[in-house]
Amino acid sequence: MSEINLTLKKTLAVIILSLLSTSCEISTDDNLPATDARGLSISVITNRHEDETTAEVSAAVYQDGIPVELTGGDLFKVTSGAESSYLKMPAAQIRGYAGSIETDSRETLDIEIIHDAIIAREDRWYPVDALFIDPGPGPLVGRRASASFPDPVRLTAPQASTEYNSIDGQIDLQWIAGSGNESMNLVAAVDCSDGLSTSRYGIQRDLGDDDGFEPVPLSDIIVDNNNPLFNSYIGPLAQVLLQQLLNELSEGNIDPDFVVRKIEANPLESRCEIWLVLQRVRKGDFDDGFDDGDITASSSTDVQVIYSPPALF
Amino acid sequence: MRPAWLQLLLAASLCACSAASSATDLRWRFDIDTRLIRYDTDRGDDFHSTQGLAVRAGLYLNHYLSLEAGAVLNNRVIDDTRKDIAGYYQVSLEQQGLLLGLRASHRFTSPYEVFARLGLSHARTELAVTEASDDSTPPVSVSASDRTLGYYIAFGGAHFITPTIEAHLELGRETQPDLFSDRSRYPFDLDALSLAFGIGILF
Repeated sequence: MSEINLTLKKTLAVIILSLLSTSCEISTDDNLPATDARGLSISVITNRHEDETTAEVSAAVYQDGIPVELTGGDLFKVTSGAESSYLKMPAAQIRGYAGSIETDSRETLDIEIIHDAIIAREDRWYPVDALFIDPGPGPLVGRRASASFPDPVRLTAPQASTEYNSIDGQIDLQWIAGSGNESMNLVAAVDCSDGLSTSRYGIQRDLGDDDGFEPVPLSDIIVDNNNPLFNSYIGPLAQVLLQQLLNELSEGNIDPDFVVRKIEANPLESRCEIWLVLQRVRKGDFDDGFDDGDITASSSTDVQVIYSPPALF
Repeated sequence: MRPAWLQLLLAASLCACSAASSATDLRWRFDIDTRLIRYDTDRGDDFHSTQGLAVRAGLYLNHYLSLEAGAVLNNRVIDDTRKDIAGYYQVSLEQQGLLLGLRASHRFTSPYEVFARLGLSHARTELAVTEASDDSTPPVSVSASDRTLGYYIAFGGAHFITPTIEAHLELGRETQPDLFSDRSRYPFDLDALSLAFGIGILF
């Protein structure tokens, strides 16, 4: 498989959003974005994958670090040019709301909390306008944030299907460096098989400056099951989100609890397909209605490489 | 403008009445059924089952065909409690209706009969929604009803306990199309699938 299909790319986008909002350090915290624990704060995470016409968006509001539910008809409205969309799906990873919007990479995304009792309920099966309930707008209505996507990422190396044979090696990531002050981020989804069993997982790594080159040791991606740190590396939340990707990879034939049941094949000794997703990340803005916030917009691209260890005798 | 199927059924009823008036041995039947009902819409509800009652009076037009009218009364049924961005909500539904249709039957030499029913139903459907923004907010309820003309079809078998009393089992489906279409941008079709057990008395 040299290219990731459309569905898989969408799933990758969701995973990217989820991993962006989680720590890559081994941690026992609640994975919520690191914002000021006091006052009202907002978190917005959006990513636009190469060649996609839609961007995935997640947003949440916190009061003193605790997620605030939008209820009664309050909801996030996302606008990009002439397009608008509403975030209605749960975004478990930030305990907020998620959705997608048709957008061009040059457009700015405006995110506003609005009140619309009908739109908030229109996915229900019954006629919501005939059985109308509207408790009125909540105190968050009218607050805004905005974000613009950084330039698309142009990955120049490695080439697709490049094969690596030892974790002592490294993947030399090369891309066309950006001109702004963006940072780079790497997400890897790994699918391994030793011929009898499989293992699938994902990792995230902050690559720092957008300077066009980053060597990534394979030992950061290909893990050893015998390493006791491994099971702590992927938190339960990331496992749930990775399950979506794994379902796509297996065309629905995967055990629904596969990830939860932990790894079976040891990646170190298995042939692994590695999807590398490189992101350029830019910070956005929020209005004075919030005391703090973390607004990130990213553009991403991907390439698949292979890890094939030498035969063990 | 009535739909073609409605015109056809009305015409059939008129013909049946005309035939009945010329018959020399008018016989009547009276049915009372208890029903287990499962509602289903075309928009993703998940109603639980409920019970209902149906009564019908029928006039035999000949040995095989009777014209019948009746009423149904179905208990209130609830949908699952759900949660979305607006809050927790639960929908309930209650329905009553009048029936007019034909019953065709074939009686075997043994005390058994198979039959089919086809007709129109004029139903009043009431929906109620109870919603709460969160666990700490008192729930709010609203309701609305609509009267619509639909249709039903049923098949069954009867066992004659005596020459004039039979017990029957019946599978049926009643459809009310385009509920709330006159006041909502989100109309829906409502199907009621039923399994009925009843007694029929012939006079």
